[in-house]
Amino acid sequence: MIPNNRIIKKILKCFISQTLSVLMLIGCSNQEKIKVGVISPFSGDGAIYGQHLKNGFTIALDKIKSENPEFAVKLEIIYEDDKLDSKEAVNAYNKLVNADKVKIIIGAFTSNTTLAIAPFTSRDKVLLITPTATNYRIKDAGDYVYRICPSDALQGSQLAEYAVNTLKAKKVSILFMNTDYGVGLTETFRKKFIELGGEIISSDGFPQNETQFQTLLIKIKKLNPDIIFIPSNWKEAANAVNQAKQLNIKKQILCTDGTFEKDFLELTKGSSEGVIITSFAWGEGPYKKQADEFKEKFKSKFGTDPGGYAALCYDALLVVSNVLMKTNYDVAKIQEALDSVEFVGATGLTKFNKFGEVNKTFKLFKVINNNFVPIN
Amino acid sequence: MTSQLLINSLIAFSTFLLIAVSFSLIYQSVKFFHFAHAVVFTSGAYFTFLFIQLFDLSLYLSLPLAIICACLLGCLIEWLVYRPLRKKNSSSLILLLASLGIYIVLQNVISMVFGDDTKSIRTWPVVEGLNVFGARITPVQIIIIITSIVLLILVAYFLHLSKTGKAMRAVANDPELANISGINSDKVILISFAIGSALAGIAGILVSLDVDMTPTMGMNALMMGVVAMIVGGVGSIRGIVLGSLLLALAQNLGVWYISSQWQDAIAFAILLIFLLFKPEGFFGKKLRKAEV
Repeated sequence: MIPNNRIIKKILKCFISQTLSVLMLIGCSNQEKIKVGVISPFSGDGAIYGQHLKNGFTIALDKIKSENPEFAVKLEIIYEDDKLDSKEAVNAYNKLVNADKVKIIIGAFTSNTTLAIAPFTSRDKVLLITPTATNYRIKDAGDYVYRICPSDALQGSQLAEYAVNTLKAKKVSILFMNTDYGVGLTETFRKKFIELGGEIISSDGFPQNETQFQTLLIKIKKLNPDIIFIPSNWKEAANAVNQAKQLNIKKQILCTDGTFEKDFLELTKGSSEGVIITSFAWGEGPYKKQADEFKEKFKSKFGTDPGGYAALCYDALLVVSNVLMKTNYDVAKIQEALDSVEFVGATGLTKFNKFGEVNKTFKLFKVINNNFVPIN
Repeated sequence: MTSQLLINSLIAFSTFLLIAVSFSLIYQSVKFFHFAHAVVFTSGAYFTFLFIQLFDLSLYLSLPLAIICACLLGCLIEWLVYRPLRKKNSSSLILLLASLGIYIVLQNVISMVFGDDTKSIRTWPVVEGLNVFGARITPVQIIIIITSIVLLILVAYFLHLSKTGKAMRAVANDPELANISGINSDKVILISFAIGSALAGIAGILVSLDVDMTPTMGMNALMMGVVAMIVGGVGSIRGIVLGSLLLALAQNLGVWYISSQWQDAIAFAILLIFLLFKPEGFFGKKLRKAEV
């Protein structure tokens, strides 16, 4: 018995010392790591958005590594998948805040997921920087919420102004995706369109992932509007535009930035000619140099031109990194630094106002020969 | 507008019909909810995409190959998972959970291999539909309607006239009695899976030709097919036709008069009404507690 006890004691001693040393190592490495949480759809119907984010981040991380290798080693990015679903986004947020103890999160990608997690940020004192969620209500979502892209308050009114002033539209039918994104854009468009003397003759919602629009479209056809406004993601909009063509509806269609995807053009060959789409404006004016630098690096890495979403995500990570480089991992200090940040990136100047909003704008494109061609 | 509404309902009816018939064939022989049927439906579309994109085959060659693959997938699920479970006398609940597991795994495999974004097997540009009595209908939609009706007639003839079809009906009625009469129920179940899965594969291809494909497209389609089957009456081809027609009309009228948001709610409200007041459906057999 005695030798056995000795052996057991030896094994236990060895095990405890090994465990302690591993724990100490983990502790040390955790102390040094600067954690940034990321919430975006990486699987499911919105996986393409997560791909834009990761591509933008890849270029940003290359830049951080080359300019500040010490910080790059410390930077730990923890990705969480929200599957484009509000409930999943809240789960991802809770995991990042409670298990990973992150103080700053980039995300979420879409409006509904961002609005789902925004209310918790004030309670937990966690900073949320959304690169791409455009819903106008995000402006009032709390003191800890910031965004890199412009608001739908601008997108909706820009489209309404174009519809009334350039297209001379008086009557519009709205076919909106029933999410925060679609509803928010419908509200901002409606407000401006009515203010400019237009009339909303119908407004029909459809669920996310809807594929059948024929019956909704014939309802609209009967009403004979001047234009049809479809605030939606690209997948749903592609089916709606295709079916409008199949039903011989020849009205001018307006779509929003969620539709500004190459895949939309692929799926709507022959039906999307003339469709007008907004996208967030970048790559021109005084900040063209920074945008060109990003475009060049992106193209050499991935072989394709980057879209606006990748550029916004690239800027989001660079803004966050720049702030974290200058401060301790303390929310009050990070927030102070964010409030005074003036960062010029691929999407222009990122400078937050008191609502955490930036002064950027949208641009209109028309589909001509199966390409997005700028029109203003 | 009425003619267009009817055409839209006819298109929806055809897809519900095909899915309901395919599911019903399998359900009758195994008597549990074969969730993985949803992924067999999706696989038809993705196999076609695979043959066109990866092997560079023409659409006309890819279609039969994809249908065969969907058929084999259904048979493999039965052969590798359900049959061993049945041999262990597993309950319907275990089989249902197994089928749910298969659905989740295979749907994720499709997502992993092909990605989650919308894929298309259309090689032609979108064009205006043909004018039929003032309504517009595309050639693909005409093919959907004709294929569904032709396949329905073939299935009905097969079940009532062929020896195998009669054996399938016998196993559906009472598997033990069928076994005693010398019918190999395992073989008959496998045939049900083969035919049901091939039909599901065809339905998946037809839907994807019309509105493209995503890995998650199967579950909603299956749900509508199942509602049509229950409303019509399990085991009755006439019932499935009526159930699909009722569901398609109710959904399209719902969109016309209420909102697109209510489509699924309408389908399940109809299901609830039938379950409460006519659980055997239009033409289903009434369940009797004891039979001599």
